[in-house]
Amino acid sequence: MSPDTPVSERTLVEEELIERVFWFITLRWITVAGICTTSLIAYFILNIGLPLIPILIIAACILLFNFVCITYHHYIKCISYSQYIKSHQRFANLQIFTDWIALVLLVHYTGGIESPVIFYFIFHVIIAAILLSGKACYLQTSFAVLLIISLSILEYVNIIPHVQIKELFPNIIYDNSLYLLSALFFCITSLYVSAYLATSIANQIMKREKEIIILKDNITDAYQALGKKDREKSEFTYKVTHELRAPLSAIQSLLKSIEEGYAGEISEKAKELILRSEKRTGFLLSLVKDLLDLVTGKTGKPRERDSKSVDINEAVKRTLHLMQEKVKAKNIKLTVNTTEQPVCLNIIPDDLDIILTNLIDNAVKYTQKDGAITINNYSTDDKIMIEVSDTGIGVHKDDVNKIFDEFYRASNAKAVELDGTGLGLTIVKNLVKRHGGNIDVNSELGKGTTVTVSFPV
Amino acid sequence: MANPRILIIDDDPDIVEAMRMPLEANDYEVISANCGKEGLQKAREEIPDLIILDVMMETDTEGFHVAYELRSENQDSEYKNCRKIPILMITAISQKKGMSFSPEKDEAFLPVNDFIEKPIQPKDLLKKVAELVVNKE
Repeated sequence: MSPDTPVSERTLVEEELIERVFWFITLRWITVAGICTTSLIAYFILNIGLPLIPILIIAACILLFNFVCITYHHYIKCISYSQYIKSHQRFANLQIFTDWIALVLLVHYTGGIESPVIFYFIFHVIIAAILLSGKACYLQTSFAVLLIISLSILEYVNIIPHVQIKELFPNIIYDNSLYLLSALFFCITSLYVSAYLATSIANQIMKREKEIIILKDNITDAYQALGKKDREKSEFTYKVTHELRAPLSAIQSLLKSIEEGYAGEISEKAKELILRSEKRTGFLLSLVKDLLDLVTGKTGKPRERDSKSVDINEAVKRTLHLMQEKVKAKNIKLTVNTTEQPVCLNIIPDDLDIILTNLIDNAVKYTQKDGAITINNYSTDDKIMIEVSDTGIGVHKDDVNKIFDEFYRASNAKAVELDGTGLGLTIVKNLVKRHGGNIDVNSELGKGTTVTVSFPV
Repeated sequence: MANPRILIIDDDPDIVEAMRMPLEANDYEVISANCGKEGLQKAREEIPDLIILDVMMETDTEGFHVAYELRSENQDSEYKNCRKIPILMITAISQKKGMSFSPEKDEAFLPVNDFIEKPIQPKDLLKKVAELVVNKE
């Protein structure tokens, strides 16, 4: 792995192996404690005649070795990350190698091939499979096998004196060469089979981890590409709507002048047709306006300097002022509950105006004559809330999740108001999200709707 | 008394025409310019009673520059005779976004007297024009 690879990419697999090396060291502390306790219990409580001194010396050696390991571990961590990665493989090999020797000595002092400690070899095979490559694991296993065979032969031919633990094995089984051979055979085969199983599982896991990393990278790339596409789409929408706005404004302005008779007398029929045309261009203009607002909400996080501290109560008042005619025309009972203190929110003022205009406009639009609209502003410790409730037509429960979709209009909404872009709530949602807020809709069909917008303080 | 003269600076001839019709029908004399440069020149030569100025022409902010030029405090400004001419600025829908000023509070920042939105509503236009011209007199 090259040293210039970004840390985030080289970590996952490598970092985990390094962690396991450390875990290996931790495990060794426990082993030392285990050796000391079991041997002391065996000697003093169970009265098993173990050669206590050599066993405790081995434990002390392991302890000492572990101190060396931990120092080395910290030392290579300090030099450089890339060297650390390279060293850790060698370091793991060295540790396992040393452990085999300690283990074979323990086996020797606890009764040679008949010692129950011999099972512990399997642990090390598994650890080797996890820490090292498959090949290294087999090499290490072969080394262990070599140690066991050598020990058995040396004890058998009495070059090394066999330690007989009479309390455990009253009969001398070293005389029985057939038993010795079969014990060796099963010991060796179980080590190799363990090595095979453990390496194949470890390899599988490693492969999966690599796949996950690749997958993660792919997803990140795809996500970024998608984000870029979305921004491009927004820019395109912005340009197109900008281009559409000028001619539409011109058409609308000219139609207005003709309709009001400034281009000479026109017939009633012509006037009616012009009014119809005006209505259509008017719709297009509101669509253009909504699209521009929609794109604004998608342009990402607002710049700090564009935001200002705005009093929500004032903003609501301002928006209502612009809509008072519509409210009066429908004889809607309007209640505004504000707090006594100003509720100040750091936001782009235009964004807040668009949010409020859309929410209140919706409430007015979809509330029948003589209905009621209630606006509640309040703040909690960490939130500022604006709640717009109406006694309008409500939203069908199947539609609640769709009303934030671009261009979606519920069928009962279309029945009440033919012209609508279906963008209002999408705009609101985008702008609210842009400022880190949340929007929530509670509605009952035919009874009314409550939209709650909350912003973090 | 001569009819009040209005200079419309806008690069969209259709918008100019849409404004010209109701204005002329109400006895205003209309002069037009289709870019900022021509607008400034006509303002200096004609000294109209009102200037109707579009924001976006060749550039997105050309109208602003024209307004600043006309209101320049500089003693040697070629437009020092235009300083008192009221300006009615045309903005398109949602164009005011990002311009955090209002004619009352930020006069120093954006030296115009009032705004009118595109598409032009003749009644609205005539009302605002009448107010500005009367105030000037």
